[in-house]
Amino acid sequence: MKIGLIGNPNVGKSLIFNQLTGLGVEVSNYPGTTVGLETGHVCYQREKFEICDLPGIYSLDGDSDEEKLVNGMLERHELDLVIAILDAVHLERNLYLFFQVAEYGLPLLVVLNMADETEKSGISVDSQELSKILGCPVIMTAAIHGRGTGQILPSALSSACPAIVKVAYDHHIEAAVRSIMGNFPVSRPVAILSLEGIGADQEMLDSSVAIANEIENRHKMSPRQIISANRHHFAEQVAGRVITDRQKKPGFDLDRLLTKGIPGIPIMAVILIGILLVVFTIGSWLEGIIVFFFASYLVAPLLSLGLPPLLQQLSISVLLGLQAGIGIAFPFIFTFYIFISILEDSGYLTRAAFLADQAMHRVGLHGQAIIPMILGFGCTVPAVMSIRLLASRRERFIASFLVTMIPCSARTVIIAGVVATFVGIWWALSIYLIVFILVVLTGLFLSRITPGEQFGMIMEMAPLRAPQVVNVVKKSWRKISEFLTIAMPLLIISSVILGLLQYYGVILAFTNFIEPFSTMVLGIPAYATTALMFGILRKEMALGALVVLAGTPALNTVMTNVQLYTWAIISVLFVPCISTIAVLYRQMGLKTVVLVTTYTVILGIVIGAGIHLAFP
Amino acid sequence: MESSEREDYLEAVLVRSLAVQAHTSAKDLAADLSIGEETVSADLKSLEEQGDLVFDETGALSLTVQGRTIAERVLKKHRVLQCFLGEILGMEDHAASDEACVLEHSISDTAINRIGNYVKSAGHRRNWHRGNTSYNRLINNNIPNPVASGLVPGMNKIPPAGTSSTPLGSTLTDAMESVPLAVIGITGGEYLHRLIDLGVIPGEVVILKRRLHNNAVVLQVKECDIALSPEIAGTILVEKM
Ligand SMILES: Nc1nc2c(ncn2[C@@H]2O[C@H](COP(=O)(O)OP(=O)(O)OP(=O)(O)O)[C@@H](O)[C@H]2O)c(=O)[nH]1
Ligand SMILES: [Mg+2]
Repeated sequence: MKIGLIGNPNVGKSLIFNQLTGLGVEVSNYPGTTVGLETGHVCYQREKFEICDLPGIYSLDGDSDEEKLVNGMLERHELDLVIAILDAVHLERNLYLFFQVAEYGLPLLVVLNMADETEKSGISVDSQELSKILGCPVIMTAAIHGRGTGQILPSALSSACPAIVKVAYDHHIEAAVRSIMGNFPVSRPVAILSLEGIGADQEMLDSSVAIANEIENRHKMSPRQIISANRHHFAEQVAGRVITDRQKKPGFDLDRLLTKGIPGIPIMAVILIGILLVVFTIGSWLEGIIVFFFASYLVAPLLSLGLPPLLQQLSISVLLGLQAGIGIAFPFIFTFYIFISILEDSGYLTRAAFLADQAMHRVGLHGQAIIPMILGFGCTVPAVMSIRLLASRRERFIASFLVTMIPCSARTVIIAGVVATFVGIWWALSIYLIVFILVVLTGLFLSRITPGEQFGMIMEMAPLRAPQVVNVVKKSWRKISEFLTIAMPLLIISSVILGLLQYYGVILAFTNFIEPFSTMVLGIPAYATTALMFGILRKEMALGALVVLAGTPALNTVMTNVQLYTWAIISVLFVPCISTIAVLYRQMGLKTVVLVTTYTVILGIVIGAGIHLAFP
Repeated sequence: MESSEREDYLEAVLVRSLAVQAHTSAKDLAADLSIGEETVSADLKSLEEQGDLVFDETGALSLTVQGRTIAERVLKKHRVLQCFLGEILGMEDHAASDEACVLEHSISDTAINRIGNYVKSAGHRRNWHRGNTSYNRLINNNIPNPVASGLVPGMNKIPPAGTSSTPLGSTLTDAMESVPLAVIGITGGEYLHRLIDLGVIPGEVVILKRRLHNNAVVLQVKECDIALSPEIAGTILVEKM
């Protein structure tokens, strides 16, 4: 049995999905977190159910990928039961989609989520009355506190039924729908869609167009507009019957500050730069402690053992790999994710998007594209996936470039671990400034040459909420555990392989080969360039490899400040990592991947060579 | 002189007299049309000879009845075309205006009347809740100041005289913050559906919560806050309650 979670964006579908299935899909406080279909399984009373978390949508008749995905599943009868998740605070707007879903006649359970927030916004919702009107069971939940979610599955299985509620459409529309259904063997919702000009059956569409034109001539508005207006009107009536307004508690509206040009934009700058500074400071402090611990309690005793050379090389490699992972990457990445999660959960991202709209128009995008870019500071892979929330291919193409250029947390590790630690914290920030300038220039250039239309932003603002400590830590932990289970073993294995290659002189051969290019063009030691190559696998591995090849984590003893700076900036710009290449390929196709990769390689080399020319 | 040039001159004089209500000299026109002053003087001389306009002793020029008739016909064509290109076909304001500047000279009266009628009925259709048409508003009021809206190329530098808000209805980009507004129509095609899904339909009462200097807005519709880019805000017609 297949159960689908359907609802508007940002109403808590994914949070409920996680609680039902025990999985950990992304939950964030902005519309458009889930972009594809997620499935999970749950056993209830010895029976297995498949649960689908679907992307949030506003209606079923749009032409975005998300709307088509959900509509397609309903039309092909892929779901046996629908759990419609509605935001109790914005019930009227949410009912608009619900009425459309209800037309498919599937067994329904209505979940009014965000019950904890109705109080705050001064309303109360009568769920029993709503259930009576809709003709299907309604339960109230506050998923964020886990309240009521335990009831979802039992209620759905015991009492879900098709809704009896029906939108009363204009009688011309009703007549037209009847006539389409008389001529073609289709269900009511399909006939309605076809009257709106949507569908796959060309013959039916053609005959619908004729009827639609007639209605349009008479009403001076298209059937689609009439139908929408009827649904909204009906939603207003239903909401009016179940919502009681109480006195709203007056409080200070933070948006008075956050969405104004002044002080909103300075606040945004302070937040973003502040996060970087705090991550650098906390990260380097933790790093110092961990590295010291490794050096004095593990590396030194090992060296004093006097093992045979091969064994010593191997065990040192393992230790250095561990040290690079735990000591350098972990403190920065974990702290970073904590802050990104706070941003995601607070609802601030949508404010940033609103403020950035004008600037983003300059680079051929609109405000909402700031969300993938900020996510890009965490990890490029999900950021590239969220490019899907942009509507046109042109925007996605431009965003592919810009998002891959944003320094992800792995690259932050490099900037922090190499530049902030050895050269200085302000120099580290200057790398962000350079990348920022390059992103802007790239955007300006691409927006001039990329064909296609430019769309504007229509984005629902997420409500501001104080992020919950538990959720933030859980979310960051989920991401960091991916690092620990996938990246750490890789780091250790590659560091052992590196050690072996070094022992047998292979690295030396490659290093000698790359030597002229490295020292003449980039001005960095050849082994550092060799280390850069490892960044293709995972960005932080470049740093791991550098430490192994240099033979010491105290990089300032083997390279000058300019060399360290150059090395860091090249590895930040140069080549997206292999996972990014893979998702880019899946999302955008081969051509974009090749272009992005070539562009970033050239950019890295040019900037590196430029610095070498300027400070020989 | 070609007839299109003649029409451009007369139109520019008319637009100026409508907007600035000051004396217009050959020099002003030269600046408006970005043409050299000497050429303009010579051209105006020949227009005077044809009886389209007259100079007074201070050097200010005004249109004769003949000149004014021609100018008004061209200006009307310009407005209809700009409205058609911009509001129906969804072209950018400036592009629509520039295009209209070219087409206005060659299009026939029959064609312009038909386009006018089409725009009028399309205006009707958009205001599907109420009977009033946005056509008249678009043609007569929404271009209250031809200079400010860039009717004549090169005339944008002149500061607009008077205010550009209209008594009947205006778009979100010039509405006031925090007062209830009634939506009276949406003019842009591309964004129509998403806006409708979010509840921006004629008759709906909305509140403009925020407008930035670039005209990006936050609109409260059905208790939800929705952020819109300026080009989208500019397609939503509203009036004060
Ligand atoms: N206060 C409150 N917040 C909730 C509740 N349920 C979910 N949230 C928060 O709402 C936000 C959105 O939750 P998601 O589960 O990502 O929403 P979604 O419906 O999957 O959103 P999309 O994937 O964008 O369609 C998150 O920040 C949740 O923590 C609730 O019952 N009360
Ligand atoms: Mg989701």
